[in-house]
Amino acid sequence: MDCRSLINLADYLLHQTSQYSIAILMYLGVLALSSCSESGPVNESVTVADQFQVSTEDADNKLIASETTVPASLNGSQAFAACASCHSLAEGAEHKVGPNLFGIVGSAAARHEDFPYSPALQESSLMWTRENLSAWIINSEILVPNSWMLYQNILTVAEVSALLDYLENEAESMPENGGV
Amino acid sequence: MSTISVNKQRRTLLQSIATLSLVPLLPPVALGRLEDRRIIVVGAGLAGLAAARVLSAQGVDVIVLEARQRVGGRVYTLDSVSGHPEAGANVLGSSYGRVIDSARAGNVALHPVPRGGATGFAIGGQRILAAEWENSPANPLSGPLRRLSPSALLGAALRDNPLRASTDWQNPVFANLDVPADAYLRELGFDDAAIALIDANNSYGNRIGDTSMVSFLRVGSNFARGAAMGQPPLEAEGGNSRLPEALASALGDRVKRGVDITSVRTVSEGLRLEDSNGQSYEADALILALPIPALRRLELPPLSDLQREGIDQIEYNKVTQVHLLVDTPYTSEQVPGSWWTDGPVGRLFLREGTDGEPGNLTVWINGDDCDKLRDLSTEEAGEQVRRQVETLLPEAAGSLSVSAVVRWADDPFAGGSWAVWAPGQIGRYLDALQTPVGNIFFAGEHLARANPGMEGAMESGERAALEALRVIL
Ligand SMILES: Cc1cc2nc3c(=O)[nH]c(=O)nc-3n(C[C@H](O)[C@H](O)[C@H](O)COP(=O)(O)OP(=O)(O)OC[C@H]3O[C@@H](n4cnc5c(N)ncnc54)[C@H](O)[C@@H]3O)c2cc1C
Repeated sequence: MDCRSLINLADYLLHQTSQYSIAILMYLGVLALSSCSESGPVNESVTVADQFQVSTEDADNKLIASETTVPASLNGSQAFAACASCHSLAEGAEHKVGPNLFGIVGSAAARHEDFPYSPALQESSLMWTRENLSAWIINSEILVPNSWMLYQNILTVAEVSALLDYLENEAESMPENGGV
Repeated sequence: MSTISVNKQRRTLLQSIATLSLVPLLPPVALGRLEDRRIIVVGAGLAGLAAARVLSAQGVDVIVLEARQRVGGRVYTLDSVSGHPEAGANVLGSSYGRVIDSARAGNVALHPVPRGGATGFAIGGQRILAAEWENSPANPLSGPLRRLSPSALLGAALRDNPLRASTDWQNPVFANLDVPADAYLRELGFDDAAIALIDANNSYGNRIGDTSMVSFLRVGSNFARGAAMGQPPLEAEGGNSRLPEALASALGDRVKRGVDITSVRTVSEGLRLEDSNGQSYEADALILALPIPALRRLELPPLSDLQREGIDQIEYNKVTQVHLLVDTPYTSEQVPGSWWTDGPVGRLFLREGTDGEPGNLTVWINGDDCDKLRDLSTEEAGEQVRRQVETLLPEAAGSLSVSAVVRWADDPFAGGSWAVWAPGQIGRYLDALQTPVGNIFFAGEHLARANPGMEGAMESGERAALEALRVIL
């Protein structure tokens, strides 16, 4: 089963069953993750394939589907651009619409007393292991239904992994303003 | 590569100012260092500006080309009108992370939207106060629906909302809800009169039969989530245009106004754009951050059949606003300031003047009713609507004057207020419209996924920026 159908299945289950356990959904999230990495970064292959499709369709108007258009992977700091509007990263930096992420990896969910988390996340008793954080980034509202991070993932699995490295390692060396 | 020094960013800025002001046609771009690659963003609405913000923070040489003399697109404060009413986006949700962060970075203060006054109803030209709605002979509803005001009617239809996650509206799992709204409502027990009221001021389709139920449900679930968050909606101090202006001013000379792009071609060096004056611009990658009707005007490299069809087919909600200044207040116990009508003037929103300033009455007409004003001059359209409002509100006669007429559907750079997906169009076109064509990427409110309105526009710009970044790395 590919990544997208797993996510759809998870969505489907979410809406079919009023009683579902976090564990099942977490499992689905992780499953989606591992299946995504097995089949390669989904977004990337789709993008490249589409480009070649268009370029072979019309030779006269050939699009530049040379090596320059093959998407590279974003590194962790570049991937953080998808987070930076809502999250600061430097230690003690102010919360934005989302909470400060300093030291997030390995911490308990909803840990900041001065941040208004969704009741759903507060009641989740999640630990932010790398696996859970990956599942959250890939589809937070499947991992924790009725949670409030309104984000559709735009990162490949490799980029999510680089992002987690960045969250883990770069936080200490961040400047006071938290970047951006 | 992970950190880009301030110096490098400055150098990029200076380079782009220098090259741009001298020769619009750039020499072939040498591939190599990131800062030597150029990305052009077309459209300085929130989507384009968000894309440029992300890219310039990564040290990319980015320029934004904007057709109008002002930035902000569908965020448009009428600065020359007393009270600075909004002709475009009115309110920011408290969950609008990107918009709020841009405001913070640009020192634009946000404050809660002041509570509006009472709203009255006018059905078939007959006025009804909210307290009298249920028993009024002019109330066209029957049975248990009679209790519901026209504006509460749709809310009742959305009560058992199957959509929960912010992206459910586009999830194929819910394709069964992507059906004509009138048919769905009829099944819920709404009769013709109730459906006609929902259609009277419908913002999610120009006609109820072409409106997808899933669009209504999407709005309903956003609304419910917003209420659960318990934070008030916000607006920018001095007008919402201050937000895109702050984003643009952080980009400095990299935003070029008055550049109406008419074509995009692929050339051996990359992409070549041309504007209506015949000037060309070259780039390694391009982000088209345009509403679909504006995109339709552009000559583009071949698109997939589905993408072309989507661009040709998707309608935008027609919105015409007539802004009236209110010299002498007309409100009283018996005369609410704001009105919901099923007639040609649609909805009336009053914002009382402060400190002795005149108030602003915004007449918001949408859907096919806008067509009736289409052939009139701006002045005629404004005067006709003013007279219609005075017929409804004789108390205001003599104290209303037209301050602005904004016809979004007739504006070539907008084409309407926002995309209204007809039943079946989301599943058919949404992904296709977002699919890059070579190094051309697409952004704009219609490509929002998890967020609506202004935030959805910025979300799409951020996504397109990272897609473009990947191909120039
Ligand atoms: C009446 C109204 C009320 C609204 N109310 C709300 C609200 O309360 N809350 C909310 O969140 N949202 C609201 N919205 C929606 C919100 O304004 C939009 O979703 C958002 O501003 C769209 O941003 P965008 O960048 O996608 O498009 P736009 O803002 O339309 O930007 C596109 C830009 O491209 C430019 N352009 C077009 N063609 C060309 C060309 N050929 N060459 C160069 N440039 C070109 C245009 O001039 C424009 O500046 C409202 C919109 C309207 C119209």
